[in-house]
Amino acid sequence: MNKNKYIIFSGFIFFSVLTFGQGNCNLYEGKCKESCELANEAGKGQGSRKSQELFDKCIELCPTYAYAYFEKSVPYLKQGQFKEWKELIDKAVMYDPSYLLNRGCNQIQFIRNYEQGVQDLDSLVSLRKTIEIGFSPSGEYHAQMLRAISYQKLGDVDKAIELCEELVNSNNYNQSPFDYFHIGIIHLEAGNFNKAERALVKQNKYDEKAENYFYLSKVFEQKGEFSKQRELLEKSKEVYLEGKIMTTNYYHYIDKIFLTDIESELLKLNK
Amino acid sequence: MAAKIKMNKYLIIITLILIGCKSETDQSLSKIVYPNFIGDIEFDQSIDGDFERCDPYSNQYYGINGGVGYHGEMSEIKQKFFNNYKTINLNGQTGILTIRFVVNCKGQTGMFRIFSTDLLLNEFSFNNKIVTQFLNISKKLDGWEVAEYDGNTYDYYQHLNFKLIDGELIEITP
Repeated sequence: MNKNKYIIFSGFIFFSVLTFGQGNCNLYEGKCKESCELANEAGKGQGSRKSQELFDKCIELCPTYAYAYFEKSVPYLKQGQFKEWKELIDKAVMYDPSYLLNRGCNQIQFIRNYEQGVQDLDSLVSLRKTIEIGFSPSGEYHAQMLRAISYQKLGDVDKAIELCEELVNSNNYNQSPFDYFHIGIIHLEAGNFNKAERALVKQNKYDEKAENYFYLSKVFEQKGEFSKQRELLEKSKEVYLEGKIMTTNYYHYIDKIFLTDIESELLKLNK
Repeated sequence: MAAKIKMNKYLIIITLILIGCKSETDQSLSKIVYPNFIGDIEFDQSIDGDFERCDPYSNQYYGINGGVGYHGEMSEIKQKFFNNYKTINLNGQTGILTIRFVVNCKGQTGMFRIFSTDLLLNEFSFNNKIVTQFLNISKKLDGWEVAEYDGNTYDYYQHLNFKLIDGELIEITP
């Protein structure tokens, strides 16, 4: 990725943080202003007893302060305690529907709960009457791309393609880190092999990763070009071993592949 | 007489509102007791046996090893579960099953705990035959990477989430 792309990507993350930041406390009055100011202190040491207790204090001061419920929910999501996460994030959504974005994206990315996640994102699009509802909390995905991936996983590939096209043709579109990776896979699944190839080549130009070569190899497998398939799998393995892979600390990315996936495909070809 | 009845009605309504307000206040003020850190597991010898912890405090998986650290990566974990879980097709056995545990400084696992919800993320208990299988396969995973920092090794918390639909394993995260 070149420097400009890092700047754009950092901008997305900054935007996401802004979207879910505690906001300007001067917008509140009385106890809600006090709650907002206390949230700054509560946010230190996320997940600790002290932090959770301070967020309780924020909620006690201002029971409609959505940000406090949201921040208090995050450690539960990260530790796999989804019931507790959902109870709190539901309250955040109730007091501020903007949190539909956070709830929807996290259902998709952390839990692969596509049905519930896409419902939230669709609701926010309807509410705002635009697809520009923001980015995932992790910053790498436009919400529209997560909608497209969800429909793909729920079996509606046509809808997924329609949403991808709406995104890339929109006036404000800037390519996010994995857009054409997913667009390529969606077209591969739909049987549009030339479009899948173009998308994955474009993704590799943006940011070379082993996963792109792997799915490109699948395109050539479908086309019956097995020597090209083998060449791409070998390249995928080489790039994988160089450490050029899709990775994040909290979960494995949707449709990410691993070294053993590449090796077992190579093994099948060599039989 | 009519005025008295009307007044009594108002008194009842006001009393009910006051009771409602009081119970709301009591609920919001009730103090929740949190662990030192959300997700902490208390050692219980009756279920955790002689599992040894190296540290009194454990980090979270995402703070070490750059995410899930397992020899053969997540694909190896997926393979173990998809190959060894004997699907029990039972209508309604749908939701997320989470198994949380500690990987100690030697890479050994213990202190397993179960959490589960339906797909709306409300509390839900899976059939015991399903839970037992996932727990047993989890306990047999022996490729966990050790958490290392500055030449020392540490314990950490790890969890696995299984999405099941009518008893069929669909997806594993994180």
